[in-house]
Amino acid sequence: MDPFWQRVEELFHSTLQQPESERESWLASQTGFDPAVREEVLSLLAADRRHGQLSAQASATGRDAAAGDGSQVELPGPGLRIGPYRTERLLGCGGMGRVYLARRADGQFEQTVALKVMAPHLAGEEFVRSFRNERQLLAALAHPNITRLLDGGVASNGDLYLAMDYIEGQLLDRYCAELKLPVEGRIRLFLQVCEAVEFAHRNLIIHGDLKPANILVTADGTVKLLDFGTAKVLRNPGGQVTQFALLTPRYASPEQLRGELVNTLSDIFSLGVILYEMLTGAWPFGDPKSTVDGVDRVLHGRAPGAPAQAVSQDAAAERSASRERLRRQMEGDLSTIVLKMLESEPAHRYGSVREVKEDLERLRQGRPVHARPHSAWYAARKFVARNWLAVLATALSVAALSTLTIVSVYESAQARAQALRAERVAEFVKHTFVSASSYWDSPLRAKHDAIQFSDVLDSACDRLGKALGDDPAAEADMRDTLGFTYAVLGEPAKGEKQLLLGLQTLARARGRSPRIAAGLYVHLCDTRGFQGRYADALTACREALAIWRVSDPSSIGGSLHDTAFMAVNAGEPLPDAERMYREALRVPRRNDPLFPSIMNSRIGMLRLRQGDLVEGERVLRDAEPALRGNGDPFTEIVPVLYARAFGEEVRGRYPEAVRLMSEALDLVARRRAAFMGPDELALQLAAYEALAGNPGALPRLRNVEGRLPSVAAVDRIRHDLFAGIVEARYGSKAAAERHLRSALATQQKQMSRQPDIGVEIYVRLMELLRASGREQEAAEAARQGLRVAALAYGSCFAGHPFAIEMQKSLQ
Amino acid sequence: MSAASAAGDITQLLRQWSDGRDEAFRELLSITYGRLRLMAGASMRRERPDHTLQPTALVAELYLRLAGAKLADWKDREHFYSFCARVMRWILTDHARARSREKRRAELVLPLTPDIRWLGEREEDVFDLDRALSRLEEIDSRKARIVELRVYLGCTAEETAGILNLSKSTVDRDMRLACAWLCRELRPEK
Repeated sequence: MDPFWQRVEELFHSTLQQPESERESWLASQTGFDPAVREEVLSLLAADRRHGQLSAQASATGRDAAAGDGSQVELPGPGLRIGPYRTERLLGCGGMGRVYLARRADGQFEQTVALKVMAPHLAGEEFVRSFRNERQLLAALAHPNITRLLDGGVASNGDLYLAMDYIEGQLLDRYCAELKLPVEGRIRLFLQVCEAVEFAHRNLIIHGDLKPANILVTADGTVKLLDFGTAKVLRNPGGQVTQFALLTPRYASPEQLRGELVNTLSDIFSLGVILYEMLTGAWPFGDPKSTVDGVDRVLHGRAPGAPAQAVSQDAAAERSASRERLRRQMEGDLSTIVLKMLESEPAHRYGSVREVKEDLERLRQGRPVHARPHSAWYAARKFVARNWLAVLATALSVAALSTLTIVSVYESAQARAQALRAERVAEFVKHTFVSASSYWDSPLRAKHDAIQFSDVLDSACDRLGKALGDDPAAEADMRDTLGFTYAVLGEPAKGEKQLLLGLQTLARARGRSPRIAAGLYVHLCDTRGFQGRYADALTACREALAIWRVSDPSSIGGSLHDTAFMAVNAGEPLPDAERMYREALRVPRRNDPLFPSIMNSRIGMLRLRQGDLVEGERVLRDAEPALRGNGDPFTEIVPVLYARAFGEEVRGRYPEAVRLMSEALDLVARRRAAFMGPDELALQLAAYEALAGNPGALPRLRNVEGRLPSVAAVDRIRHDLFAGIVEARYGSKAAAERHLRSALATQQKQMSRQPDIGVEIYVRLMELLRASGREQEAAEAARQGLRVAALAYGSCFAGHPFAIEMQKSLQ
Repeated sequence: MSAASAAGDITQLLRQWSDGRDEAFRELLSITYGRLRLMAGASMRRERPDHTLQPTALVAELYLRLAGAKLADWKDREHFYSFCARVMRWILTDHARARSREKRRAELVLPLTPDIRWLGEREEDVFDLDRALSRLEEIDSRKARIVELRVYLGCTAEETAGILNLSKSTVDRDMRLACAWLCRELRPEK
């Protein structure tokens, strides 16, 4: 560091230590020969004084860290006509608008309402669209603990309004504090909150923003939940435009913080935070204002602090108890219940609000509660009691259908995307975006109110033809980058267009450019894969492979992998894919020490799917150590874990199987932000939960039903199979049968060359029919299943557990 | 190449950057900028009608999607948070610049840290702060880093101390001088 600055710094601080009146002279004495230093220090001291003054002025005008004043929208004042109402006074500000006390003004009848008014551009397109549909649904929510939504509409000036029951009452925390409510009273209040939330969940409405500011208590002690269901209409009724650093989503579940959709389990988490605070007076995760705590919470799923530890003297006083007494109350079952609501993994929480209520009731009655801290042994005990065949079939389905298609597609493509973007898009971005030139001044930009990366791409695509018209190879290369960037950013159709253009352009080039051509085909494969068009993706893969075989045979490893992978997804016969993986093993990729293990993980899975349990497991076990990495295993290990779980179940070693499945799912859950949509994951977890005997599986399934796009056959089969599993256990048997038969039909028509999938479906169907007492049909399913199993498992048929079980059914 | 190798690159880049290799920052920015902009954009428009940009969510998202490296190692943590603060600074300044060309007010606003309450009162503060911090970096990079963490990520003094592995008193002292210096830059006496 500059010695001048160092001296200035030293003197700055030491001068400040002197009494104010003596500072100048003291400083002069220290800097006799150094007028430059003295001047600088004086100048900084003056600035320091000024800084203090300005800061004081700023606080005086109310502009401090907690204030948010970014709203730039004009909203109507009181005394205005909005829809059929006239506002009387402002009740409060918050969320996306203001709430007024209003009365009916169209002469129809007397009505006093709380009118929430929102400017539509603040509300967002999503809200406006769903506003009309959802209103009916919400208006039907009639419950003593929920403020009713009476009406809603669009005012003449375009503002949106919602009219609700006007309730006189106090906010929950204020109410509890003023009455110095003890623990029992607070639990009673909380149970009312649960009633409201449970009622709404039963009507398939999730709140998504439960917090004490949304809970009122009337004078007679009745709880009223406000803003209920507006959260279903609005995805995220958050704060206004404000200084972002200081908005901590205090009651949000980890999955909400990560930007995923809310469901009933997120509501349960929020209820847990509310209960924790009501009981202990503290936030479960540390200091609510801290950014770092907030980040840690999301990243590491930080566990909540033990409630007993969080109790302070003041909190105890507010609960009419001594600190020791409150501590003791917070231990034991009450702690277990609250902590179970706060599990960062949604599958570990209570499955429904009803269960929470019931456990709290048991607690009040002095009966043992059902909540237990989550542990693999608990789940394992449940497994042992279950029909192992059902478990087994699903484990392999989960392995065969989910990991191969979803986790791995995204993994290999996304991983490639990350690597490639680092090299190539960085270059592109630097030149067209980060630098101040072309984009800033382009007339295109003036039209947008926020910088969108895809806008940059669009504009660049337009310019490309002109810029590089005489250099087709360069143009093709650039289109490759652009195309793939589109795809990765969620616009695969645009991406494909660019890639195909690139290939056309390349045809015009003088001389061959195999690297660029292959690159285009590879990205085309990925882009089509993102859309679920696996057969078309396979075509592109084959082209790329053909190019590499000719121009650089030593580097076909990656290409072989991709082709084999896509072939499996597209329903090609498994032995063909296995051959390609084995060939890839003989041509390993440079700089990729994991490559052989990944190939073996794929080969092992295929061996299992073809019935060869012994060899499959051996190969997988060999691959496992390399895939484990240092401490944090790579995601490729997930199929290995699934497959090994399957192997353990076959041998009847259920606790082992459960442990492996849990590990796999934990990994999937942790990495899913990168690899799997939340809906797909939810469906997979639902199937697993159904297996483990957790009725939470059903709401989880309902949450994602109808939302899963399924273009590809393999995706549709997976959705039907998992849904069938959940329905069979916790839903309707008729629906389960429909799903399973649909899965079967799809498999027979479009994935007929991978009969092992059919075997699993028959096994599930057989079990379902047996459980419904339809023995004849179950036997028929077994017969069909055996026929298909013989095809699938060839020489390994006789000893295969599926085959054995189905034969039993025929006796 | 697996996702973990890409993560390794990012860790490497973070290290290089903290060793003073500025080109590493540009590289990191290019890798992550698009993503962050998407997230910020998504926050602002499509999904979230409330226009809040929560650094908590963004920082965590960044980690989950790209870094994959262990944040437990303190050196990585420091790099990571400093990097995020730096990117936040970029996004805010960038956004304000875009808006001012269109003669519209910025939607993402400078956060206030209790230490510099007057910051953000003027519209030019965003740009002036960015420029001033660049100058401060050349004189005393530690102070610039501290200000970045506190202003753009909203970290408290304790947290800043923890992230940069300094004592709280050092952070406080540095802040005092940095605030005076910034005040002189941004609010010069007439």
